[in-house]
Amino acid sequence: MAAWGSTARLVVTEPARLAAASRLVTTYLSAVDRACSRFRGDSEIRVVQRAQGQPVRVSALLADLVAAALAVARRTDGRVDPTLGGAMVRLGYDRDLQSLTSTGGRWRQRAEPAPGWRRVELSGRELTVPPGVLLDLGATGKAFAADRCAELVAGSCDTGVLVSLGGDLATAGPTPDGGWQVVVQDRSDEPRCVVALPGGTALATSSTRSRRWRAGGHLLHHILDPRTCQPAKPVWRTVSVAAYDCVEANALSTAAIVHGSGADDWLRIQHRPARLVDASGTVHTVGGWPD
Amino acid sequence: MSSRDKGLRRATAVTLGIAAASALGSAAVAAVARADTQAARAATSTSTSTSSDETTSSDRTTGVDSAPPVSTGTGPGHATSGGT
Repeated sequence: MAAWGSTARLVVTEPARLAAASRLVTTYLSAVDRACSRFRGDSEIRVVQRAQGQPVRVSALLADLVAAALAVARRTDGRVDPTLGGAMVRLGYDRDLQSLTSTGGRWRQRAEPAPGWRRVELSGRELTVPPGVLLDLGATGKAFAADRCAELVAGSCDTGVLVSLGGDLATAGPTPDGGWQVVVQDRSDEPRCVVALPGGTALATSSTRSRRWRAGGHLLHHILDPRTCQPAKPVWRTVSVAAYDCVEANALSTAAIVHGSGADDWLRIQHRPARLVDASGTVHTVGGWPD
Repeated sequence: MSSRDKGLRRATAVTLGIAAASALGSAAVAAVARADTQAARAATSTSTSTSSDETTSSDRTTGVDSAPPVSTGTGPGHATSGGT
């Protein structure tokens, strides 16, 4: 399936459960989109933005998504920050990426810090963001959805399942013989490997070479450094991380891109298997990632 | 012991038909049927219970220090993890 500008893939170990699993995933992704799409005027985060600093009672789903994003920001020392929505818009990423590529966009080079995740207040289902701040939950929302879809399908359909949303994937339930086989590769001309994951684990890959667009004659990518609100320096082409859930895997892979130089050492102390492809195409592995 | 217990499973993959949107962007997701709406309620219920627990997926794993075991795989793969 295509979802959020990328491909979604659903794999189950019980073929008879596939249709039901598909309906669950489709419905859940639709709910997530209504909650946190930057590009839908009727999404909840747009409603929150229009509230101009006033608290808004949001859905349980958006509360969960924001709670996850804030936990990730805390976990990564702010390298993954949910308050970058306005910066994305200023860089021209204000619509579906495919239409953006075809129409070009604006680009204003001005380094400035993000509003900051610490200014976002979530109390139960009451969400308050500073006036003018547009949340961007893209970094964690897709991973969160992958985790929840896998849990839902495994719990409701009695099957082992792998859910991949644009390459951020989560597994749950019984595991295929030999484990879940996952190809790790950004684009066809990039280094490739295949790893086996046990059920209940997840894998995410972040890239400075995918999800790019041109604006003002510059080729930009979508992983912004919250310190500057500009695309992170492409020290790494891709970073892939395995963890026990996709939110954590995505948090670490995205944070590593923002970290730049030394991210391999930083990931090593996170005790998670990781694979980094540097700007020259050389592969680095840490934390027990198989050679 | 069933084949399931033994882990002797074959995985079935599907590419589903959700209309394209963007990175958590505009979604022209296909209209959902009544059964899907019921499923959505189940999903919401799950979210609610999680919210009341004030935990997140990230929180749940914070205390897990052991690395998940990743080994060399084979074959074409069930899925691809590429850049997002």
